[in-house]
Amino acid sequence: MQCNSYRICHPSPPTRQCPDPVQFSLGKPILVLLFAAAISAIAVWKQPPLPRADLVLWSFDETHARTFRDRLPDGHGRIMPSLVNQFERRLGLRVRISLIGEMGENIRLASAFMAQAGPQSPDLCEIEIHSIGQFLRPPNDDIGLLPLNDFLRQSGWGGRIMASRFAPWSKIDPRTGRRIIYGIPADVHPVTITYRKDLFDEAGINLDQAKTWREFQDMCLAFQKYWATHGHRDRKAIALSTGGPDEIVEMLLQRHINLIDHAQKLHFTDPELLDTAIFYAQLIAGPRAIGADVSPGIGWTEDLARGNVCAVCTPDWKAAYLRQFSPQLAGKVRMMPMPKFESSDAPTSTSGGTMIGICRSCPHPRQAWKLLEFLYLSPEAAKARLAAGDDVLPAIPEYWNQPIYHQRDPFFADGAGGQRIGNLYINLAEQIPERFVTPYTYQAELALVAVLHRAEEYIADHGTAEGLTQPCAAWLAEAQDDMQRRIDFGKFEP
Amino acid sequence: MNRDRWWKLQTRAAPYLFISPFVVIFCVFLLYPLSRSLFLSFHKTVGPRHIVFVGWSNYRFLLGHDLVFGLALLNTAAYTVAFLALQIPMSLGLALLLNSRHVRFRNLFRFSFFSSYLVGQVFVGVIFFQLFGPDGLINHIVSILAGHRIVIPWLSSPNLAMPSVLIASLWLATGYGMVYFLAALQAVDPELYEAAEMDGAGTRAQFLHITLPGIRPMLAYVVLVGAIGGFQLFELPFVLLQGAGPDARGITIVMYLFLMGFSTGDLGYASAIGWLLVAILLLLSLIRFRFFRFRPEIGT
Repeated sequence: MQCNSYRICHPSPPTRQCPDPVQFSLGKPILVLLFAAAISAIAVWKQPPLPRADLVLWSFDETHARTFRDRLPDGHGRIMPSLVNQFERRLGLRVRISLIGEMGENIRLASAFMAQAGPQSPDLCEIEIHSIGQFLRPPNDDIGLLPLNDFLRQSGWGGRIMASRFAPWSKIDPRTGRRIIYGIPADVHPVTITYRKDLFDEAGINLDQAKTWREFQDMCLAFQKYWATHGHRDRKAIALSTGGPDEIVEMLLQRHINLIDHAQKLHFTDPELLDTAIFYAQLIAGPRAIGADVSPGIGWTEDLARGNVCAVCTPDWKAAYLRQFSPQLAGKVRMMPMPKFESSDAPTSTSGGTMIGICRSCPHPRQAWKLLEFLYLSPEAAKARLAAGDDVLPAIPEYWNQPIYHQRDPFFADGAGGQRIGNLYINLAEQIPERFVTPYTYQAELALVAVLHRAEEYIADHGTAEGLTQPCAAWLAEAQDDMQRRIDFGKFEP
Repeated sequence: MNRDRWWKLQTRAAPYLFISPFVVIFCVFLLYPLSRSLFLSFHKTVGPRHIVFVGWSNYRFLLGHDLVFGLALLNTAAYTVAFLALQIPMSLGLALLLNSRHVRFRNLFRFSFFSSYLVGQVFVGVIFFQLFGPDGLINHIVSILAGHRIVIPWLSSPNLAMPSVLIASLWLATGYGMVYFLAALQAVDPELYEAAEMDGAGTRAQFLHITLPGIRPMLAYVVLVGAIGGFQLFELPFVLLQGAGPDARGITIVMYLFLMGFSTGDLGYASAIGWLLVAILLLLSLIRFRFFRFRPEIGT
């Protein structure tokens, strides 16, 4: 048999005459790739393994992760050990905090909960308010998070955390009617309105005097009229989304309306919702419009600084962005409570939120609870949050007496060294409405926005909101029927 | 075992050993998830332990009652048609231009136009998120041209959400199509053009009777790949519009699948959406084979 160096000998075994029957050139690129692969493999192999941890916490929030992991100043010129270190020293347990992108965390948690995978899921996790719905969809016994009612009762924290902030992270047990709590809230997030005091003052308008939304709208119209005659035709009074649900949901919460409540009941046909939807449509369309969209992301801070919009709804976390991204606004802005529709409404709303929970697969729930208690509820945690620059109100009212929440803030104009915005938030925090989140809340918000869009088009076509009540009620009824169909279809009946 | 038997065993087992890494990876990461999702699409699932067979119920609800899916389907189809209607002529035009010997620095231009494709949909989403802002570069240019400040709500107006996605995706994909057309144009026999010129054919006639038939198979391929890409659109609008966009006008089929799976947590329903998408793509491929069947023609 003839043997060429580039031909594969087949099928006889190699002989002495043909010592190398299978031979072909690898080529330089393949060799380079092989070399690169070998180097990478060595680099990966040489990586020190992650230290074994007794408790693992997944967080999507960088500020929280920093608060837990970093050594922070104690306010007396010293650096205190990180919260995690303090906990490890006290209990002799090793803790790992993993910072994971929010979407990634949600998908990994959902997969771990579905697979009931102990080793793959963390012991504790932080979840954002918009994501919690999907995790609460299964029957109570199958939710991937551990009920915390017993821990809260035994530790006494149940009565010390704001009751209304348990709402998004809990579910009613259909058998007992009892509220099962799956998460401990990190925050309250009351909402105020921050406005450009300098520009409103120049227009001769004291926005603080607006106690109802209708008064607020009238004042804003006068403000826009003034600036239109002073070379700013495009200046809008307030940032209001024309294609998103944020502000209208905040207004509905003021009126204690959740699109879907804790019992999965829909409220699209509530007369107050109809009234709010029509009013909101007039805020963003037609001759009485005072609202406009703002730049995406944190671009709203720049819009406020440029005077494109002159007021924004500000939960406490947004106030921090304002200081950080638009420092040129120092002394030019002021905060006020949200106007109401009726006297029974709350002068505030709530926007955003984070919880911490214990995964059901956690082998040592008591140790996990100890960690949760230390990182979220302890006085050390409250101190560390402030040291990390996180000044949003915690959900534990007894910590609201910290001096930082009562100081004057020169960024917000008051005429006397700055407004005490912490005091304002604290006064409002006590009145925040309950907010429920279900697996269908996001879809319900989309449905509401679709109705708003039709109302907006109606106003644009007719030039007025007159006669809008009847069609808008019909659209809302349609939306309710559609959502009800979805919820009924999604119900699990074994 | 003697040497001969060992050698026979090796030669017999070698092919299987060579393909086994692929087969294992294919089965674990493709075949099993595919069959599992098909299984799930006929079931209702809640949490890890509850699963019940519901037959075609998910598909029936999807096609008969789900208005959001209807909107997603309409959005995706409209986007795909608009994308192909614009991308094909733009890519072909660029390819013709950069195939011309009269253009200098052709390679530089070819790379420049193609390079946008290398950055990926997420990055393009982030870039255009900035460009389309009320005070972004695009509104800035429009304002300069108009002589006064104009704010076009590219990302917040329901009517402009999908056109914004379209503009961003054209920026991303025109160069990609151009590369394919360039390859096809270079395969057309130059002698055909010389002969046509001698016969007195003009540029238009040469394009219609030599170039187009010559690149027909590639045209069909680019159309098919573009249509499949259009129906699989997800990352770009998801990043650019921060979700479904204003009034859900940026929602696409894959985005709806994602939302049902990972926002509502209904994996059975999400699987049904996925398999409907497969059916749509299969249909598109069949249409492509029916209408763009390869026929050896002049220049190919």
